[in-house]
Amino acid sequence: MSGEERGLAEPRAAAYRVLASALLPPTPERLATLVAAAPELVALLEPLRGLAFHPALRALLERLAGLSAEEAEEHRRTYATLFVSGRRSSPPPYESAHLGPDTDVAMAAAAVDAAYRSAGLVLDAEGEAPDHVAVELDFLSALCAREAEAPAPAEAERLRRLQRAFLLAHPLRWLPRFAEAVAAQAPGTLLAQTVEVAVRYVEHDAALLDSLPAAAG
Amino acid sequence: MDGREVLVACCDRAHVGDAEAARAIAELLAGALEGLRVELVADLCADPAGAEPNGAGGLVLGLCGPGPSSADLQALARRHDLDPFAVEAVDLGLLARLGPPSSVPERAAAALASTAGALLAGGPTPPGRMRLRLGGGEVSRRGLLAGAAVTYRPVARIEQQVCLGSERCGLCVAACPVGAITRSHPFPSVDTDACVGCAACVSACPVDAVGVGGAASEQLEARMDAVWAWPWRERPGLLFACRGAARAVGLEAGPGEGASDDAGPVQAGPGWVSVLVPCLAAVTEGWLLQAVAAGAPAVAVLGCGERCGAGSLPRTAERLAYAAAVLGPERVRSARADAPEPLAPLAAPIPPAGPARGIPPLVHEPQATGAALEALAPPELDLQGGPLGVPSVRTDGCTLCGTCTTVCPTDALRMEGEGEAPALTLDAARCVACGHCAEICPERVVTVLRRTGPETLAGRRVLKRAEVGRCRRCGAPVAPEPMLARIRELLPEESPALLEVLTGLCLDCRGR
Repeated sequence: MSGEERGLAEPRAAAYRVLASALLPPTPERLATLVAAAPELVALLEPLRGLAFHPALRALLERLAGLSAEEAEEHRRTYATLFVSGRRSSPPPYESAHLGPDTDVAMAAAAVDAAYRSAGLVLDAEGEAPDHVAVELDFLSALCAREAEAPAPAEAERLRRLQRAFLLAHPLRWLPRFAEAVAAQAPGTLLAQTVEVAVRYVEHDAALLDSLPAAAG
Repeated sequence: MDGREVLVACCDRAHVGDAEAARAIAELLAGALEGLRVELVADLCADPAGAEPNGAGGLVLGLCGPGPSSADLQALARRHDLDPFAVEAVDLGLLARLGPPSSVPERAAAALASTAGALLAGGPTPPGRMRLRLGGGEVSRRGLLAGAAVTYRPVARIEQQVCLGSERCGLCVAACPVGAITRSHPFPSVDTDACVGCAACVSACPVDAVGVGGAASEQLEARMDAVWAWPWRERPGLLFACRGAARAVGLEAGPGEGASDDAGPVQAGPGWVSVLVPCLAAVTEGWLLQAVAAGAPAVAVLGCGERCGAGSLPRTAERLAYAAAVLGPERVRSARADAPEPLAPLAAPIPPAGPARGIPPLVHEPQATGAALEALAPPELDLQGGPLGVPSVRTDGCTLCGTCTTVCPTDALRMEGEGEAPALTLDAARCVACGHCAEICPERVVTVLRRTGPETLAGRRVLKRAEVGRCRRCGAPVAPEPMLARIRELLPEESPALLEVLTGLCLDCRGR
């Protein structure tokens, strides 16, 4: 595995990790960590500069880096109102809630969990449900990280295929609708911006994965 | 640009010979649009790639010639972490050749405002509206990481939440000149490998469900609106210029320095102002008519001719012929980049402008053509061909079942007054002659002619109205009387009792 190959997978993993962290429940500690790390993350994601989603991701990180205590509180309130309060109109941050009225919620979540298991990953029992937006993004981050460490190009290629299949089967099926719902309910908020950036990123990453084999050389 | 600024960086020579004229452009532009900032840059044409957006979210380069290629413009965008389609160049040298020197600053300022308006109207390009492309030949990941090899090609994307679906509409399928959109179900799908980003689908979609990177409907509208709304001293002709064709003509003409010494083909009259479009395939009859309805003395197109990647030439010729039939041939011109003298058709004298009718620019058909015809109100309108149609319904055979209205993509046919006196109504200005109504009519009483006639401007009118048959138990509507009569006619052998149930009772009362 060359440095070049690793070079692309590592910042992609970091981008997924950042977005996953930003979409987990924003406890004061988690948010403080994210805010403190934001300037460093901007530098970490610099290799992705030039790709179309980068300005949006950078803008998000810059907003995070400059987040005041009041804004952080507002963000926590928005998150709780939308995702924790259980309002009928709220868009739940779970894939199973966005696949249509005939969806069996448990089966949908189990299908995501099965994808994790088939990649050799098991969810922490204490954590979020497998189809939570942050968990799906974190899974992609893990796959990218593995790709970065893959001992051989064939293994890296297999992991990219896995990423692409997961993107198509899960986040791309529901995140755009979820983002629209969040934007409609909480327009202009940090939460809406984060979800929008996540959608842009996963859509772009799927396109990038489509293009990469041609460049694998 | 999400409320951010767009910077117009204009070469201080601006192809008008001196800094004073360039300053005039900057002064005219200042305050033209909210969010627009103007800077004159010393000899920008010598190094356009060195332009700095200075914090703006979009950048328009006003250059003396065609300037950098689209790949180089994207590289500039990338360098400044801008959206891939957030940097555009306007060839002021070409504009200088399209009219007398005295009007160059005003026409140049309006053309720059048109491009800046498009950038201001568009937010970040959604990933689905562009296709990532790694540069040709051998490309290493290092190259990708350096950003040098990545470009984005604009492609169409259909928003399924808005799209009427393949069954009811499919107008984008018919409009796509390269067969990249197919009638899959329930929604049309785009083959992004085949899509050339011409935006023909954008103007054909009646409900704004299709967008192309850098050419969303609001961006196309903004391009036109900036020119429509410009406070002209003397309104010039409006030239819809394919970006590729304009570049080809500009390159042919050379770097464009010293315009005042190098007179172009158009040296008299009000001249022309250009509105850049992705391809002439997007420019509909309605766009052409609207330009004149909005006050332009003439309208023209500049395309790639035979070299057009979307093969727009035949369709554009039809559209120009339609516009010429409505406006008069003296007000409609066609220029081609592949002609020996591309701009010669623009040199003929332009007739005086008619009144500006204050209509907003509309991108989508049939609204664009319908609104323009209404504003222009041409006398004795009777044209075959064109974008509009006239459904003809044989009223004695129509049962008012309303099936035709369920497949009409533009709401030209509509049922009204249901429950009382149901009526089938038609607004011919909204009919695009897709023929769906004729195909689905169970009585085969609908025919559609591709035609613009007096009906087009007649507004919505009733084609057939009838009484509604009511339930003899509860009085609720059962169906229009003609439909009940047709049921009796189709079931002559049926028992009178069953017929009485079918035609005399509503659904609720039938089961009791």
